[in-house]
Amino acid sequence: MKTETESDVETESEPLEPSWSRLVDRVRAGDPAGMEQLYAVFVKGVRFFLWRQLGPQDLDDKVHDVFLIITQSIQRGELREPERLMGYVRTVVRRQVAAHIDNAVHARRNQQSIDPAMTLSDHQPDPERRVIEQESQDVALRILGGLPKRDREVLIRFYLQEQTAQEICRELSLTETQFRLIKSRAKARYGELGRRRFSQRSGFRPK
Amino acid sequence: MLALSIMSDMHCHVDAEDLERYSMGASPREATDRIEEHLLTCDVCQNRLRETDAYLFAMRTSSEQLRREEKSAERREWRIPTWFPVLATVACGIVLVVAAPRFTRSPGTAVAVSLTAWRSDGAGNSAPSGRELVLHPDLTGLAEDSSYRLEIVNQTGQTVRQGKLTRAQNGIQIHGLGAGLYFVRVYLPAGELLREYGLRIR
Repeated sequence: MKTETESDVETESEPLEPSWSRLVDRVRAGDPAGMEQLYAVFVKGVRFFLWRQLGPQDLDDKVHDVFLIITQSIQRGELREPERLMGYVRTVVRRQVAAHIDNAVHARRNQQSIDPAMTLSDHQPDPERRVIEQESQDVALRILGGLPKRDREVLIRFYLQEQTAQEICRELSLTETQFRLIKSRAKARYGELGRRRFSQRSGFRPK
Repeated sequence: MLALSIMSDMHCHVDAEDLERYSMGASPREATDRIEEHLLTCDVCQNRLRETDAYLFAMRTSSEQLRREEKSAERREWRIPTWFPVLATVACGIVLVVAAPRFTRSPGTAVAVSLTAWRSDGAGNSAPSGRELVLHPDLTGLAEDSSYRLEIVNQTGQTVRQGKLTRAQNGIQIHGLGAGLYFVRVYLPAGELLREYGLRIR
């Protein structure tokens, strides 16, 4: 658990204090300012959540749908515990994600019988994102390639084979501290190399 | 459990380990709920999760690539074990030693042929084909000279072998001939034909 510093609070948009009851009351009353506030508080998070789960396709529409569902259900009085607004929003978003995935599965299945070559949406990352991913992969490859064999094996087992820390420690005769150290060193090196690459590209030289 | 240690209040961010576990989809249910609720309103953790996702993706794809390379290297090693070249060399050597004599005809020792019969169908002078021959032409009665030129022609008159024969020499060695009728001609160095023998190679 990490505590936010004062500078973080100033530079990043700070999570709001959970005074949800008042906000819910205003939305329930149909107050446009209340709805605006609800939107302002959650839009980034909802957008992030949907983007992470479903990709960039029709993102604005999906965000809009989520807010529509939330405001309508609040107005219908379906949110019985206003203090649980965050949990409620999260549940709505998750349901929407599940519904979209379900629709996509059905659409794909129905479409296949008509035209197997046709696809509904492009889930490939855009070219810029692809370049970034390739760069990240190069950095990771360099890190893994430069590690001693045992350390590399630890990381591959953890990240690729998704073995648990306990399994890895048992099979490779490591202590949990050693395991954590290998992981954190690799991550730190990744950050360091990534920053170096970025600064070379942008012509910025860190002091 | 670390995952349960998240967010006692809204100003606390998700622990890096918990975030990584969440990104990998390995968080317990309760921790997942809390992390997701926090993520809904926290830009800092959204960015951290984005970075964690990217890191995991990079590590996973490059691990996959390394594993593939390791496997193909293992397969290559299995296909050509280190002892294989040595074994192959020894085997080839054995094959050469055993089989080569079957395919190569040893010239063996040269066969001495006394040429006595004059031009004829070669019935009197015969030799095996493909063997080294030492021809001993009968020079009795020939014009005296220190050396003679020897020429072997086939039935159509084409020269197939040539050589120099001295009186002191006890014969002339020639490479094996194919089966057929040949004529061995003895000339003076000046070019005068002195004698011709028939030679049947069988």
